[in-house]
Amino acid sequence: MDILNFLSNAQNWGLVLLIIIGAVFFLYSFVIFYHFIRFGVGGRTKVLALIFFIGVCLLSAVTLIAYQKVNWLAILEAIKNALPNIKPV
Amino acid sequence: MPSNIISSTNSFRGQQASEQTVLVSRRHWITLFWPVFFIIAFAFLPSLVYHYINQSNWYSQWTDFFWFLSALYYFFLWDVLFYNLMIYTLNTIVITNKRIIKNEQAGFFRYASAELDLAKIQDVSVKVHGAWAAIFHFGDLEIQTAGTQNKFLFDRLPKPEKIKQTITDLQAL
Repeated sequence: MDILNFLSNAQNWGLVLLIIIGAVFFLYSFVIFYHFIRFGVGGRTKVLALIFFIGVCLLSAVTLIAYQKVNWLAILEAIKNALPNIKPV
Repeated sequence: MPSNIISSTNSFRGQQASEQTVLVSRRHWITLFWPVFFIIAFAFLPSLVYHYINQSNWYSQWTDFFWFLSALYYFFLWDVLFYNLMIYTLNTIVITNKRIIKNEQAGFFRYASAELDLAKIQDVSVKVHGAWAAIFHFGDLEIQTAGTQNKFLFDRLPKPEKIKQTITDLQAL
């Protein structure tokens, strides 16, 4: 019931979307980082891993800031208005 | 940056106690050219889309959403770029004072490793195919071993003649 209440608030949909996309991206990023550190030969792979990690941190921060600026209610309202008006049978 | 990262001795998993790394080589950087070229080209896509939509009357309402999607897109491109770099850097040929190890990374957690003893090498040959290979100095290295082992092929290596020379020098020791 709590989940339904949470999802009934349209503003939370953006948060759910961010968590799902974020989880996929972070898992993917972690696996790349792990491969560089675990299987890399020499110092060059570790330097690349460090550059990758810094980039992921910066892009995560930028994505979070961009997410916070989005007015999800206005977006959902705009989508609702753009969709054809379907009346229940 | 910590000095032990910069001044690495090219150690690798499975390295024996008395084994010293002589040379670590990867494929020629030209193998990375097209993936990196396409990633850089795709990096301009949000700017292109912005150029077309910023004049629309509805854009003002969607500005922040557009930048959020752009940030996610760049995150995705960053991951794709480093996935390609990861595959490139993990495909290695390691020459030690005892053996040659070939590591092939095909994807996440998918790799193959093969090795051969320097003492078993009978013949090392270099093959350069095409104008690009001659201009950019890359080619294939083929190693024929004694016994039942198949030929070892290392493709698109930079300066293959130098690598061949290193192997023959090590055999002479």
